[in-house]
Amino acid sequence: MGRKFQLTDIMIVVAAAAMALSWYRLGSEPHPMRWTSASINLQSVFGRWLGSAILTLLFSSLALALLWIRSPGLRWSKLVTQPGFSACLLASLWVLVQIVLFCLAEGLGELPVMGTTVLPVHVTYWARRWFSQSFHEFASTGLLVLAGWCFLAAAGLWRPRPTWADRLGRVLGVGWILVWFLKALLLVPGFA
Amino acid sequence: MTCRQMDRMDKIVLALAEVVTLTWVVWVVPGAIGESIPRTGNSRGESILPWYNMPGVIGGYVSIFLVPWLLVLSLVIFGLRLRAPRPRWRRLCRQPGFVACGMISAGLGLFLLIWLLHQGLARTPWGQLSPYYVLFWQFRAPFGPVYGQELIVLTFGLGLAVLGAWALLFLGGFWRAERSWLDRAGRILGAGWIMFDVLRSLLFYWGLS
Repeated sequence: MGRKFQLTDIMIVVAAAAMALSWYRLGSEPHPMRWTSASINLQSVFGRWLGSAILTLLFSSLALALLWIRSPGLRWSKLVTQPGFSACLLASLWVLVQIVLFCLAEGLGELPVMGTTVLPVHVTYWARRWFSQSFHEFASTGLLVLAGWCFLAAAGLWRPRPTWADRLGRVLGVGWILVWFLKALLLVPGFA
Repeated sequence: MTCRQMDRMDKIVLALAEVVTLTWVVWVVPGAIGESIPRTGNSRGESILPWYNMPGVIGGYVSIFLVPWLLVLSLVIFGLRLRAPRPRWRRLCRQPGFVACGMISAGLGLFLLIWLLHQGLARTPWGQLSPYYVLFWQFRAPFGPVYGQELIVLTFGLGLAVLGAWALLFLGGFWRAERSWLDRAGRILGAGWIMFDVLRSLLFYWGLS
């Protein structure tokens, strides 16, 4: 990313930080019931650390991918071979997939096939469902990044660049892999 | 020319794979019917009728019938693709079918390694003090004593490995699909893994909506 930092870039960073902080605040609020179904949550001993790490990684990856894509004259075939960019790209794609799936599930939830099961208090609002349950899915981002990096390395396409953006992207990628590994170690079986 | 026709060895290996998979499914299904449905309950542990937990039931049966086929065939196709004659490694790594089966094979190895690590950790004093120790047993309980099912649960998430590699393969313009039965089979299996994990994720959200 060989261009100057612009006002729009600053706006992207500020917006990402604001979203991360508001999400963190929602996740940190005390609940009338314990989050029994959500293992990755901000209330548990390990979940607090993992939840904060996931939020930081998520919004940093989204912001960095956006900054990268705004660069003029980008060529996907070259960009994708940069491990930092590929990590942020995969994280962003996974977020999009999760948003689509969540919207679909909300639509399916309107169908009269679920009976009258009483749901816990913490999942009675859509925002709660999204903020608590999507952590499970975002914790699996590391597996996507690990697979993507393994593919780049095996195919001889691993071409890191000596730029701050690529270095930061690689750090974020390593962070995602560590989060996934820790979650996998704590919750086997049922990694993702 | 590195595309090869299906020979006698391929047919024998595939037939053996089908026998193994059928045995696995037949071994697992009675246990699943006998164990998982009566234990189906809501989040407070109360026993409820299975159709009240529609996403759980759909996910359970899709897993039981689909994962054994996907897993065994992915490993077999990966092995057969490595048989000579085969393209050079760099070219092979741009074939989506090979990439999918390779990711599943490597991912399964990694998952088994983590599972072994977890088994060790759960038996230490630290593991018993961990709040996840109880959760671990809760994860195991609904599946009963049928070990074939535990292996199925262990594979949850493998589709994400295929998704990650395929996304970069496609977006980078490196997608070089080969017109051979091996690559086609690999692509179908890869798509199956991705669909399975996307469906699992959808059911996960649906279960709480």
